[in-house]
Amino acid sequence: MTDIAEPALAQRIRSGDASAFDTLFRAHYQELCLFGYSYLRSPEAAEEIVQDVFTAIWTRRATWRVHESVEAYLFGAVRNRALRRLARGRTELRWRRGANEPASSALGVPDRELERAEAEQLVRAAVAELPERSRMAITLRWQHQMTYPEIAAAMGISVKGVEQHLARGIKRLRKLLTHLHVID
Amino acid sequence: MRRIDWQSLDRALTGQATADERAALEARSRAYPSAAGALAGLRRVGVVPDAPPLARWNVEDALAKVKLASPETTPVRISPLRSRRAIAMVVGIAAAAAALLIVVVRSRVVDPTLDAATKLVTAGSTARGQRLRVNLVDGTQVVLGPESRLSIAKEFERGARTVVMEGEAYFHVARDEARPFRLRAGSGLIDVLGTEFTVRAYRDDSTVRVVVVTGRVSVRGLSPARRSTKPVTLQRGDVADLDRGDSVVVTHVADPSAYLEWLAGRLDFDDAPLHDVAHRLERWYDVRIDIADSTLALRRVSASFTDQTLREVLRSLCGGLRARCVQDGRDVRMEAEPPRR
Repeated sequence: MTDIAEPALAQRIRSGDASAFDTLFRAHYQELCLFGYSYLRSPEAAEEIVQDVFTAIWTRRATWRVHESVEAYLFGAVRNRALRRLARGRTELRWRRGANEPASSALGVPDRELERAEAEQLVRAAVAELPERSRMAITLRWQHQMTYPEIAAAMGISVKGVEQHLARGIKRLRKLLTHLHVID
Repeated sequence: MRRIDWQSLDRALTGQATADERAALEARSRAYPSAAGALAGLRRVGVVPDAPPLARWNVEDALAKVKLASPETTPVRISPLRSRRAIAMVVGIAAAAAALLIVVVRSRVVDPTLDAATKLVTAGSTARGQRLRVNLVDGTQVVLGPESRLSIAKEFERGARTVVMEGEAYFHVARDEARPFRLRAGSGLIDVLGTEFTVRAYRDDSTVRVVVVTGRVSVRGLSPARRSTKPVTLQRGDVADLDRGDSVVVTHVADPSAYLEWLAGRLDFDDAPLHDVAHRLERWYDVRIDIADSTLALRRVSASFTDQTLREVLRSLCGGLRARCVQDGRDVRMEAEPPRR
């Protein structure tokens, strides 16, 4: 596997182009906050680590190297900081089990709509219950549309490792998704 | 109905499905609401069930904050003949200020006009060619320009938030309605609720300049007898110049952020006399600049420099002015080029 050519944006940032940095920031900031939130469960803490990531990039821009995609780098960096913070605070990663509760059955909501909303809840809750690495791999793949090498770069593991985490996650979701008629 | 397996589902979710596969999934979504719901869920797997909406995170505020957090890292370049001086690190300062404040056991009421009895401690200071970020215990962020100093009242943490500055500084004051933030700069007294502004009050400046970026501040002069004059309220975009006679001249600019560019390592001159320009360069690059003749010193300059070396700045300045600039170590001499015959 060869390295993908380095994104032009990263090169511009390295040469000190402030507008390139602004562009990168605006394109990913909120998404990364949400991603950080999924670990830390605090909007403020999420915001802090994402800002730290960008501050570090701008501070050390002259030596900033991106190996896969800029996105992979950003998600990886946010994840690393989030995990470090969790370890430091010994805060437990709490997943809201309440997400398993059936969607509220308000009167007048058509059955189809209810069924749809319930299925969505079930799937998201099931993904939320996955082991951290499987959840990360799946999130980067399906929500953030990354390639295997990009996910590998973000998670700091091999492409083979990515395949394994995805497979593990998929295995756990298989029964539910078959039941919901998505796959056979 | 076409069979859907993991590979086809993965392709569909990453936008690589064949037309056939897409049609099959759509058919399923129509037939089974559960399939439609599950697909929607899979597309948003990273979205945590009880997560706040994305708008919870304000992009522009955050960007400004990140930029603010990095000014010490766009180092002011020192003239190439000297080794680059390390720009003072910031984190230690905040900790030091906090530590100093903890020592205070009982707070005394601080006279808001800052009489001689107000005990001050230095929260940060810079030499020429340096910038420094200072975080105060109340959450206020300050960036000091070159050759500047920030002192805070010893009772800052518990009593009134009173600070004194000299030189140039950017303030992002944390809001605390119960404890107004009061700043003394040169002969000016500035009252703040929660806002962003910059102040320039070098000893050799003839005026104290205050530029409000957001929010509202009030400015008044302190006559030598320390009898305050009537305050002037400034809003976003107001640029106030307070002279030694305590009169305030307010002009308004559409985009006050131009006055923040020094934070990002940018020097901006808009129709400024060369002697003013030279003054700023002296602070910025830690050099002495001698302008050989007074006509040259009065020539007006409009220019903008970002992170350039002194040599580059001098080259473009002197090129534009048709002046001769000679640099010898930390001394720079500017003189008009002899007229061509």
